[in-house]
Amino acid sequence: MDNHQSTTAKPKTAFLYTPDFEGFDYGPGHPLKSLRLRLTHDLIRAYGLLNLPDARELRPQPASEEELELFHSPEYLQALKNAEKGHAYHDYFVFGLGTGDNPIFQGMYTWSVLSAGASLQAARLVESGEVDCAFNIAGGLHHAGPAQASGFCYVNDPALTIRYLISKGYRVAYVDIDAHHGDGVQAAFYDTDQVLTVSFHETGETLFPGTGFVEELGKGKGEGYSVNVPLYPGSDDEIFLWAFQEVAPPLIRAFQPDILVTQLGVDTHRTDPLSHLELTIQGFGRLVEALRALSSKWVALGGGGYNLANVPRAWALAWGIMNGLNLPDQLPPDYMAISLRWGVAEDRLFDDPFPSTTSPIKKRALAYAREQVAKLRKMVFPRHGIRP
Amino acid sequence: MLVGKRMKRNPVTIDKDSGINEALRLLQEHRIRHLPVMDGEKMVGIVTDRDIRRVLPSPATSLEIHELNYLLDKLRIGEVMTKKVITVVPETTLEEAAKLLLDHKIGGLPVMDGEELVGIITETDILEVFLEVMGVRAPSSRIELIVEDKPGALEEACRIIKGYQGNILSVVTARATLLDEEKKVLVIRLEAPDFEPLIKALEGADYKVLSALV
Repeated sequence: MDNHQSTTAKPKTAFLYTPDFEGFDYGPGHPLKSLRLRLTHDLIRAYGLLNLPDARELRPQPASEEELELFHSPEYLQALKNAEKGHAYHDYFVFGLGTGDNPIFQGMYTWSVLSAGASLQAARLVESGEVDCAFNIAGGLHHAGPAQASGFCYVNDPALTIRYLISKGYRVAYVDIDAHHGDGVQAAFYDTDQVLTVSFHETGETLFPGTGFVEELGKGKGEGYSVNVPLYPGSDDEIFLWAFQEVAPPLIRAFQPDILVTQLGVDTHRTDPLSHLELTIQGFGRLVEALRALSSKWVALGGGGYNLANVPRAWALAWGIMNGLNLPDQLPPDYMAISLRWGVAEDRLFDDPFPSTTSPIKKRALAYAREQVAKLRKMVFPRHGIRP
Repeated sequence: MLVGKRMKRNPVTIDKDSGINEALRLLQEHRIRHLPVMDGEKMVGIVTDRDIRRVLPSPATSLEIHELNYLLDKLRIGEVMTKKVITVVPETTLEEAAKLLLDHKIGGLPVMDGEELVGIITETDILEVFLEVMGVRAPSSRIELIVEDKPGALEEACRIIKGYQGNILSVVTARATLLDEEKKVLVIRLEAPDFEPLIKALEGADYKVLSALV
């Protein structure tokens, strides 16, 4: 498209995608719909962002069992495989399987393994220097435990990816901007100083999984390497961006990671049905720009986002930023023709500006954010040699 | 019309450490389909009749009855509930709530005020509002008209009705998707002493009357 404007030098990038991502179905009544991935791909294509000179679209391969065992227990993987084939047992509840959040459905293992394979491939592309940034919109399933399905996630691809990278000797910073705390990833690296995890999310007081408080600092060698910034319902662009800038850049500069892994959930949006934060698409975009400034080697993963009108816009914008491009506000007619069929009537990339209010809700959210950031500076910053 | 005005306050809830049988009992006793799950004062999830049915073994199970009872006894609501819950606030509009129910094919939404569960709104509540909006709650006549989708089309029909001493109870307009893109369907509930002459007058004014029920 001719109206793209370059913001800086063009990085080399890769977009991992296969139509097989679209094949899974969590069942009626479940908010995670594969259509959001398809529409994102449609929008990115309609914007002309799949045939840029320095960007490649690549088809991911499923993760191997050996790779999955970097994080998950063999018993759990076997249970996933059995469940997918319809051989589920009542004791599968111990694995978190068969719940409202993590139903047993056909293709659940196949799909999870493909999503994880795409994240691992993204990591290999970045690690080898083939690209500066790789994006897997099907990844970011940050809640799963070694033997536990949780919060729509069966295989924890961020944890696997980071395990792979540290096994190669890299230092990894993980930044998670999903509305939900990245509990599975935090737990995976709670006792190591090779990985710095930083999660911004709606407070566990009001949202699943109920964790992610400032006091969760890590333990042993990992003390000070788990960082949590909980935010109160009603936190908007202004509050989220302020908290982000106060915390993420200084800590990551001090940590000096070789590679940055990010989880770019967009369920922080004001119209997302699952959370109570108030971000706009442009606010999300500014977070992605701020992340881009933190590292030249970047593995970007998807995450939550349950309003079909938002996910494609947010991740197309993110992919534009990864390629150093500004996108026009008017959504391409080719995309709108497709999205309208699914009842998505959005015609602009950006939201109307959300007025900065002085409502009691906003005041309470701002006071809460200030309190968390102050506590965090005091408890965590000195461990990284930064003045609180 | 906002959720806060139409929700059910003080919804029936269940503790996360309760068993499956307790959930079944509550659902049946109160004839409801959604139970917010509580950990003390805090809502931590939701279970529906669908979740419970999924947990109960199929009639074709190979398990012995005592094994089944043992498994069901051991299972806590906290293990089977949905933890990532779609919620609304009292200020959510009813149409937004209806859209959430429809888009996600669910039947109920807990209503939250910050950390506090203040109510629940279900498809039944939305249907009640729909009936009210359609004017069904009072005895009345009903006319369905096709009108041009242009300014003043509604006003003219109303003037004719007024001319026959008709008292309008409710008016609903909808896009006539099955007929013609340019036209609208008007559903009017009214009390009219001279119903037949009124219909003739509307037809005389070139309105297409789709149906008229005294």
